[in-house]
Amino acid sequence: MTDRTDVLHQVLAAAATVFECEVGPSDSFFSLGGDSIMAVELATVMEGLLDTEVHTETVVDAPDFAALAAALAGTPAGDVSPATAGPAAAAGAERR
Amino acid sequence: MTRPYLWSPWATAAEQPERVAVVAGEESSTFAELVRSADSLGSGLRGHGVAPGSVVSTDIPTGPRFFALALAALRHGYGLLPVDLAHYGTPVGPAILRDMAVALHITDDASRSGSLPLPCPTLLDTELAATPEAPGEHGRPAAAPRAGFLAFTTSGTTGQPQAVSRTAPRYAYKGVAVADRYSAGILLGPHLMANPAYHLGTLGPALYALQAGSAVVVQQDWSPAAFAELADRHGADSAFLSPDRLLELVAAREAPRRPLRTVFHGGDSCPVEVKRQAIELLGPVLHEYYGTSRSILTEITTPEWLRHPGSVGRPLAGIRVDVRRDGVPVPTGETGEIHAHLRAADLAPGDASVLGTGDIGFLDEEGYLFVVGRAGKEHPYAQPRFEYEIRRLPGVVDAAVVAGADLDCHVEARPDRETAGLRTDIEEAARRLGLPVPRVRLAPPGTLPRTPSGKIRRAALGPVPVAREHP
Repeated sequence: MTDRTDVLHQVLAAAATVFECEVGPSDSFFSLGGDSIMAVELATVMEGLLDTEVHTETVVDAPDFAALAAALAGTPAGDVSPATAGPAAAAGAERR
Repeated sequence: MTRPYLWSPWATAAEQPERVAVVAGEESSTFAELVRSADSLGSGLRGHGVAPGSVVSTDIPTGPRFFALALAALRHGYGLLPVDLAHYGTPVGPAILRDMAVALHITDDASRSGSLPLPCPTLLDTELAATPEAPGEHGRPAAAPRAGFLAFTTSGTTGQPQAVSRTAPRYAYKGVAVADRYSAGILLGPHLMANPAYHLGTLGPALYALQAGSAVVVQQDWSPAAFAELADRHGADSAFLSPDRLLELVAAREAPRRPLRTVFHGGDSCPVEVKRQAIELLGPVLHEYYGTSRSILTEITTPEWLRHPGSVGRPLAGIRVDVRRDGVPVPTGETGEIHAHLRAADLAPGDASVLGTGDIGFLDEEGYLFVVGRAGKEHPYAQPRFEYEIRRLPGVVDAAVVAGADLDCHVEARPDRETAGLRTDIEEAARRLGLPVPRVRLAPPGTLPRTPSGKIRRAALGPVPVAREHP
């Protein structure tokens, strides 16, 4: 694993790709409009850039992208946390 | 455990075109047929000049034609508002359609096409699917539209149903994020819709399962025995039960021989005793949710529920819930109105980010939410608390408290519950909460009026007679 600053750059690059806008360290996944589909996409893009496993739970649990980078730089992913969406949300937009 | 991945019915159709997608009585469709219909309907909407992002309504019953239309809306960028057929002959239906600026009403019944008094044109789904698409500008295919959405009406427990606006996604349709815990996918059995009503709670899990790769089996005639039989016949892995049907299933002690992996329920408070019996009957597979017609707010698994009995769970990631009185958050354990801080993805431009749910509840030390009931007009906090306490009494199956000039309690209780003792317990609960002496109507389980989504229809309860009844 590279150091935290490098990881942060990669996280921001991945988020900018998924959200199609400029992204800063203090932005959060949900404040930018993230949902369950984007969590899968962001985890996949980050895995490609960082060459390490990234869980969607890690993505949605981080309060901002700086914290997400810290979590990815410091410890391997693998935690368990609340879901991003229930199936009931699937009727709304398919991307909760 | 499989990590979440994106999947859609178009992916299922490409891999297993003949896989059964929807079964409703004698009707069924494969995934290939389903997505072909959905794409034809999407082209038809464009051919009719319905602008992307517009809302269309329907009264098509849940079955192959309904799900094709729902997928057409999701993939081709339209809002679909299913409205119960019962509302079209009353002022409610046209009012809902006007509120949502519905562009087109889509039906499957030729006798209704053109004959409904609606504020928009009406068209048969078959006519829509046969409509050729208008050529794109300069003959070029249009860019992929933003994904569509389903919109719902409130269930009308306290008044007339109203449409609730939804937020259109920002991106093109990609299906759903498939997660193990919801027990749907191309390697899993069908989802059984035990209450095929037009509500987020029941259509949400069905549409999720269908998009994940499972078939949807619609139970058209409800009985607990038929539920178990259908689940076994189709090898169902998940099901949704509305509040009334969960109560009936528990009372009848009917369960599929082949255990379900996930049973969704929610939409109304489930008495703790009833839920314990449901867990004994169906296994530790109950997945309860709480939300509004706008979005799901919390979820709870059975292991979590057993640690926090009566809770509806913790907020979904990205959502925060707090409890307020007079606008001020109250400490853990204190009762007040439940407010939800929604995700940006759930907000439309101009929306307040904090949603008052109109429900009364409290949070425990670990952030698990308990819903006590709807805010009362006469006794805003004590009345729902009273209802909550009635629901926790032994033998009580469900309850609704309505306060006007009098405090009326409508209580469904098991026949083996001794009635004088139950009345005394209810009166004692009212006294403890500083409420006036209530009027109590005891009724057998399943006899209070219900909405199509299975909640007690409070507006239809009427006053409790002064003289005591004997159930």
